[in-house]
Amino acid sequence: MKYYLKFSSLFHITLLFVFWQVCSLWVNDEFLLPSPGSAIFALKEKINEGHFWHALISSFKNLLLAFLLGMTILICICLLSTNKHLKEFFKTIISIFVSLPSFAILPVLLIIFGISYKTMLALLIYSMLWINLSYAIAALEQVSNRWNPHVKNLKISKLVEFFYVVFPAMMPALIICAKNSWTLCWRTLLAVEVIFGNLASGFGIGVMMTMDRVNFKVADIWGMIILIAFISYVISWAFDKLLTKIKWHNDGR
Amino acid sequence: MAKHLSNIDVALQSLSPLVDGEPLYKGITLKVPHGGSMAIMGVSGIGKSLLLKSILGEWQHSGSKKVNGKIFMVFQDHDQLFPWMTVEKNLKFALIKINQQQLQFWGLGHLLKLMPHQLSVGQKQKITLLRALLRNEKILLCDEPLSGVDNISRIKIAKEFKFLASKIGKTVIWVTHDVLEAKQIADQIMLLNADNFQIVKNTIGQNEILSKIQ
Repeated sequence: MKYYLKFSSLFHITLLFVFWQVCSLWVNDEFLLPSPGSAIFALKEKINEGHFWHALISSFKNLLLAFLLGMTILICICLLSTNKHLKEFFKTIISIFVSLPSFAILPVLLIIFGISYKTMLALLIYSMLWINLSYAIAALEQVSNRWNPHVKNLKISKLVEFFYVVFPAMMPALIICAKNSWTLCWRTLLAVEVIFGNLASGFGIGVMMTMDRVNFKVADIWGMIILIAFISYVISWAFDKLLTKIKWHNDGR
Repeated sequence: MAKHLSNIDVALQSLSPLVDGEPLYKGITLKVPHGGSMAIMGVSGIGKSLLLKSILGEWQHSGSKKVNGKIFMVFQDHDQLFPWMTVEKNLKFALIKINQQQLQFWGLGHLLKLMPHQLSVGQKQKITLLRALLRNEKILLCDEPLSGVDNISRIKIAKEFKFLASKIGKTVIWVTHDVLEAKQIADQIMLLNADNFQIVKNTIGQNEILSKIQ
């Protein structure tokens, strides 16, 4: 059982590949559904190409910029939300925008910025911001309820309270927000790259996939899907590890 | 007479917490002198914690109160230390200077570098009480701070707390369910009932105290 839990992810991934292989044999058409072997081989070939690393770095650069800007906005709004009136204002704004999908505001962004880098950046930030802000403000309320009597008792200033009490108490919630933000940014970035090609975002992974589709390189597309899933898995694992580093959070709280 | 009154840190006159605009019980009248200690005992739900909140000024009440000095509250909650700070940082954050002698007295010197989740409930509450003692507020309101601590440790901590509180000169109002704890902590014990209250000396017997609580 102990070994199963340790290697459960590996087991599940193997199971998924076996299922894929069975489906591929059943379809029996490399164009419709190539086997995992063909996809991995195509990916290996692609990695050896010069364009691949250029595309990967380009995608990550965009992603990192949007992620950092988004998280900065999120933390600033959390700081402002320590004020009761501003918190209610942000809660109203969040409830308006959280249900509006990022691609629904795309026409507005296109009118303002055109098909450009700014549009993509705004879209990525929008896609991650609202749902995570909603979670972060709920966490802020929980933290405030928990620690307010003690903070009041110790008679410390609001600024000291935010940086020494609220911010550390919210750290687990902020890491979860960061993990979700990363996932949403990653998804939106790939969608933007696949739809707009290199018009908005530069030559990224999604653009490579679009080119493969144009050239009917189906195994290459599946190879890229494996790569995207692998990167998502690794980053998600890293955030989970980071969360376990907060020992006080994991010891009965 | 004036000298006598200036020595009183907490004076309540017919005070009762209000719930839905109605007094919870017959008004309480008591005086706690500077450096004195009063334990409050009563059955669950009678309103002991609300009485402390009324003294603190965080709950509406009937009657009047006179509080001579700043108040620090010790809550029932066993996690009053910030879990992301070491014991030492928790004490420093509470704006207190750590006195090694007091730490040694309570056997806490070796705990300074530990995180709160590494401590037992008794150790956590000891540090919380020490923090309250070392701050500069002269009145301490303690709302069953030792309720989750085992019987042996509870009496030991209560005894040590009483010694330090008297030495430092803190005025203490301590809510508890435990007769032995009340006798260790307080000079006087207030027995709170729905329709009356009595203040007795801590020298009175255990059974007699229990018989007076309805």
